[in-house]
Amino acid sequence: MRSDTQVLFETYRQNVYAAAFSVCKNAADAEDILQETFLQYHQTNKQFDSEQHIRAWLLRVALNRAKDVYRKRKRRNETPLEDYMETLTFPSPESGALFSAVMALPEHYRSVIHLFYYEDYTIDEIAKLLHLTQSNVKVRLSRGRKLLKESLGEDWNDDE
Amino acid sequence: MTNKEKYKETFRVLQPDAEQWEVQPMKHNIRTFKTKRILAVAAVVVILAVAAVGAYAADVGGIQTTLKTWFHGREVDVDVSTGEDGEYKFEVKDENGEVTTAFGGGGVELGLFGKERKLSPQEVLDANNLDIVTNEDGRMMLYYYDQSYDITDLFSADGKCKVCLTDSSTGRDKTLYIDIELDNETGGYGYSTDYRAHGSKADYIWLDK
Repeated sequence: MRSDTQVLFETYRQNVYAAAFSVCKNAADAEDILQETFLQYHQTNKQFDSEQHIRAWLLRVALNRAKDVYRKRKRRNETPLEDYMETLTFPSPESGALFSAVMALPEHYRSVIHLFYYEDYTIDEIAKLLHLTQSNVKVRLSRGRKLLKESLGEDWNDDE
Repeated sequence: MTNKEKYKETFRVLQPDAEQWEVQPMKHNIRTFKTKRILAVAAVVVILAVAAVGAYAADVGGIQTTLKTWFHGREVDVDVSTGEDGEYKFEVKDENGEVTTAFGGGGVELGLFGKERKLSPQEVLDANNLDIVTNEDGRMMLYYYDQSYDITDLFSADGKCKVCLTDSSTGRDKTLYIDIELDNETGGYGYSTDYRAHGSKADYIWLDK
């Protein structure tokens, strides 16, 4: 199946942008990745099983591109994240602290954490989406949670 | 509140910049003076504009309306008509009524992912307030409204030039990214403009900063 690109864009633009940002940590790059991801969808002839299949494909394309961009930019030693954070309006100080803590995680933890906590994917689904083993996803998730707990203390629960 | 709820509440603040996704007019412009031909440009959306321009540059009623535009850094009157090929024909005359410059063009506004609307002659002119001309000294000049910049030395070895400037034409300062490419075979050049950088922003040279 195929879905209209414009409709998909309106539905998933925020998800794709947030996923890209969670890895590349740069607003301008995330905007570019958003554009490139939907343009790639628009131009591909690939057929999908369902809209959930399309959603997973969009997120995978965006995350992979974000990894490339982040690693390339990291070498240029650019860190505009703090400036961008000042433009965001978090609902509470705790939210701002959580955002900072996630951004401070290693890149390969951030994508797994984001897919689990924001996109509600299961460990099995994340493994398929990122082409990782389930045990690898579990390890990244566990270590990411531990680092968040260390950073946030009581503001990060012991639940999943 | 669970961790998932906290996480979602936090990351919901991340929103793509709506302004970035406003529909932007794209253009195709072929100028017939000085035998220079402005070529198809690189951006995918603009190539679509080139492909579609013949179909969309429809009749504006034959002769002839006079509009204003910026040309080589000066504001001038332009007579507009429709050519046999369906493209708009623009003529700039001197004080004696002699045609000093003639050029043709047309364009479409490309919405996201392929939705199209033909541009009016004024919109085509407005989209062409940027102009690139090689002057008598052999210097390549970029004109934007009443501003002019010498870009001769800003080309890379492969004939590409990436520059940007501050565009205040919409009432807000926005960065306009300009990609120019020389065609060694024809001696012409093509360019595209966009409020989004094509590739890394670090590759663009600021003209007005």
